[in-house]
Amino acid sequence: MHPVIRSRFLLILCVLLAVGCTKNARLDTIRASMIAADAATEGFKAWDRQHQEAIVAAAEKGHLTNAEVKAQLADYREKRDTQVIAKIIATLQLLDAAVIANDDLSLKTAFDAVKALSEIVKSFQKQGAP
Amino acid sequence: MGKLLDKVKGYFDIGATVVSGLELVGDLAGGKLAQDKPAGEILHIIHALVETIRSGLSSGSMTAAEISAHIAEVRAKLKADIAQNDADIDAEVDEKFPKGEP
Repeated sequence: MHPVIRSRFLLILCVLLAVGCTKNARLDTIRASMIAADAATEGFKAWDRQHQEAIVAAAEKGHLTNAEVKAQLADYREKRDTQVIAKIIATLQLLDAAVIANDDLSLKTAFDAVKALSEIVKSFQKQGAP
Repeated sequence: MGKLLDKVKGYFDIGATVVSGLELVGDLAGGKLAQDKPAGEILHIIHALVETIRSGLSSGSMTAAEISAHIAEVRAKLKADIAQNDADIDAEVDEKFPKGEP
């Protein structure tokens, strides 16, 4: 990773961890989870654009028609929407529910969902779908 | 004592979650994006992320209602940005692959 980018990540990380040391543990957990979900979401949006551009670039080499390229993109988008976007939205809803509720279960459920989210996104990217 | 241990463990878990989220973006910045994009563009993406995180950090005194509003905003922005990605790519396809021509 580029040294400038790495140093920025470390700086952000230090501040984020500092935030986790205030009094209201529940809201701190939700805030930290929210930031992690934000990070995963931002990262995925950037990757999505790159991946779709890669599909188009590959299609140019294959001399495909407009309809064939659009079909490939539609296939990718369907997988993206069901496997990632829906999971992100569900995670955000769980976080929202944890904000409103005041029980341990809602907090743990939301927290676990955020933890799983990064893995879901990474796994989807590794598939190289499609 | 048990509660204290749980709380400490909770902080570690929070840290791990944040690290995981940032690693994901780090992978992007250092991996595929770095191969295809100039450093300035990568930094622009990182800057957008930093701004997002900064808005979260300023939530030190955020009420539950404000956090809810932020979550709604993130959700709406996700849908809008993904729709924009799709629209831009579709326009690129129409430009590079005229309809009816192989």
